Amino acid sequence: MTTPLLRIRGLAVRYSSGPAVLDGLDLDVLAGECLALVGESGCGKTTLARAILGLLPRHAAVTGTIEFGGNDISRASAKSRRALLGHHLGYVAQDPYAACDPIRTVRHHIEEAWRAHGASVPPGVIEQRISALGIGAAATRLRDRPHQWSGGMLQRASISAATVHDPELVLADEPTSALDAELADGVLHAVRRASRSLLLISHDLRLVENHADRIAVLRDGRIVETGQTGSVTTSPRHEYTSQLLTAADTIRSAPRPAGDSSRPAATPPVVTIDRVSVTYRSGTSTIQALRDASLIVQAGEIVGIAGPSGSGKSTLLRVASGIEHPESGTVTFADGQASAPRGYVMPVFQDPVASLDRRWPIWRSITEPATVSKRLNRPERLRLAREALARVRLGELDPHRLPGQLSVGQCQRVAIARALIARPSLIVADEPTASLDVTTAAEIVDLLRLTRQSGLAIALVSHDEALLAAVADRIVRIRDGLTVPGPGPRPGAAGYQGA
Amino acid sequence: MTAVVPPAGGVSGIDVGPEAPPAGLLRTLSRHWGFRVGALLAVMLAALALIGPLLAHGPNVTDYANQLASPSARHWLGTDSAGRDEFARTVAGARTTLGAAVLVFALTTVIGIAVGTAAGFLGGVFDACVSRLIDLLLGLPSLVLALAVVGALGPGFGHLILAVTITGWAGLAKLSRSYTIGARQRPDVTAARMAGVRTSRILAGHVLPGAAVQALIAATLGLGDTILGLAGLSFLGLGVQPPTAEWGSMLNDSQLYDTVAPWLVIGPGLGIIAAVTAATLISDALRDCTDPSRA
Repeated sequence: MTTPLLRIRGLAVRYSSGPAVLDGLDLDVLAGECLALVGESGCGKTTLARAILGLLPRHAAVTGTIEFGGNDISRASAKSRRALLGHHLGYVAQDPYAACDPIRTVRHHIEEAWRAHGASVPPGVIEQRISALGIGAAATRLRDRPHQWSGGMLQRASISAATVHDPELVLADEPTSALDAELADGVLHAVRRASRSLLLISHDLRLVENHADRIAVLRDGRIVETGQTGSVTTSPRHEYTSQLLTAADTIRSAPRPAGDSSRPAATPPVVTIDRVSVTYRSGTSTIQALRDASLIVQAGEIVGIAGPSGSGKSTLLRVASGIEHPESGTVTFADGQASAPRGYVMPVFQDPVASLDRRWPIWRSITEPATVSKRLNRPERLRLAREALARVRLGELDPHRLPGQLSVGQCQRVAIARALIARPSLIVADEPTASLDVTTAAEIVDLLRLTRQSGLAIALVSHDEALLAAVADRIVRIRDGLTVPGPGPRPGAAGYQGA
Repeated sequence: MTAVVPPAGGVSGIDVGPEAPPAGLLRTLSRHWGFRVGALLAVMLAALALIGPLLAHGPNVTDYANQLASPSARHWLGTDSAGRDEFARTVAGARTTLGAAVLVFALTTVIGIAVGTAAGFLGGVFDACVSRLIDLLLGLPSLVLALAVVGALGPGFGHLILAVTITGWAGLAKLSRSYTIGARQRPDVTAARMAGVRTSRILAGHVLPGAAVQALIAATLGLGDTILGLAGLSFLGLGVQPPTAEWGSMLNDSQLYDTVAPWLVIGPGLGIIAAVTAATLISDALRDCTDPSRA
């Protein structure tokens, strides 16, 4: 048997006095293979990547060994690690925009692969590599700043930078989680092709199954299952693996909840948006976010709003919320009113932790909408908060906690509890699952479906078509600020009724 | 101070659990070692300002036969150019200097936070006017501006406070304004607006606590400059009038004799160092303890 390229034995990592993040982890990456490491957020995936790269904070206590090419690098000095990085070990970060310095050109970032080792850049190589990625006019485009590139292009460029020296192993930590779903597959393909061996970290089993040779499932700092990709996804041996598979499937193509068809076909609209246009001006440039966009949301339905980044999805949602006033067109809420009555529309945001006041215990955030119409004392608000928490299946949670002490998924449930307490007619959700892992996202999707049953309408924005197909009654597509009536996923459902 | 310990275990059907309620700010602060040292210093300085003058007599008694005497059993910190006891003057100066500094501190933070938060949240014409005024005040050298104010109104303690306050609030207002503009876009504020919460309540509940902590920390860090700025005006004869003891002017006087009587620096110098240290330690502790992400 050949020696594995990367051999991790009994790796345990503990941050100061907290619990062990990694707890006796064993992992082998063989030369030439793609190993996918899968687990939900908080299972220790990123800590493992940091441990291999030597980026753990000083207060982390590390035991066990990390052998790379036969040498233990877990206690290597920073200097000897640097010699390893680039030439032998490449790294692709999660969010390409965050990984790039916004004031430097794309070329600068790719050149860094040579500069970091004191080498000069061979002329023409960068242009050649970028053209090979299918990016035209390479010489001009390389002078752009990172934000002028699309996420998919930039991530390909950073993969190119990480593999300049053809390292033996490439480490990719969720390389597609910041990208639109349609781009993810292509980027994974690019990283697989560019690397000799690949350790691919992801939360989505279904996403990696087409790219990985083997899959290792990580839970609570331990590997619970390792095996060939086919056998792991078709006949998982560990119960947790099946759970991850179910969650990944729920997000993609869950069965429509029963009782859907019993919904009355002609419920009154909760909001009618008719041919609205919105233009943003900053300095000398103007961006037309919406052009004659129309949307009708009826009581008790979930409307999915789909479209690529920057197409005006969020702006349409802001118009539906009544916080963005269009320069032309009309918005009508219940009973022909031009502005939303208070608490009529409530939001759920993309970043759940930021959507709660970080200084407030969650009972204050949850019950804030209830205090608008009526004065409530503290015991009443606490009681209300406990009821609301029970409704979002967080009945056990202490309402005195601060948002920072909760998991991201719990924060999103708290945000939904706050939205529900205002007794809204419409909930507008802007990418509510984008910052969650599959398991948590599936729970939030379930919860949104459940709340719909009480007659609430939900307008759900996402770039993830699979998610929308699973939850929405119908989908409205938006491209360049124009709404396009999309085919509902379910024939016969109340169709698009816009102008 | 004894901590109030809630009775263990829930008596009613609702058990709030061991983590609740969260410790108050004061209790968190009292566990912070920097705050303990800073608070001790602050208490000592306050005691010096309040009861010191009862112990050290005659800060303004001149003795021209005994000018610039070195420290001795009779004059612990020596005497100044007019033969006045430097120790008595240091003790007496604490009240003037610290009183002025605390007054300026309170006025600048209250005005700065109020104006800055209002401008940031209301926006529009009000914000534009306030912003230009802030730019103007920050653009002018503050000492020159203070000179103009005192020059127009005449010297005196009250006018001195007014002059330093007028030049001091602008920076804090700018800070609060930019914090508020950031907060206005925050999702939790949007949610509150959509729920129909009144603007005044959003300001008080979501925006002010964060803005106030930021401005307080900045103001505390600027306290040392305030004391020296007050001294500068006193030195020019526009602030506290002689013979009233004041640390800044005493420090300025001592510069004339730094080769013959270097000990004159000790009293006011230590006083200013102690005040600035106390302020810095307390503001650092405030920053540490009001950041919920560290809880």
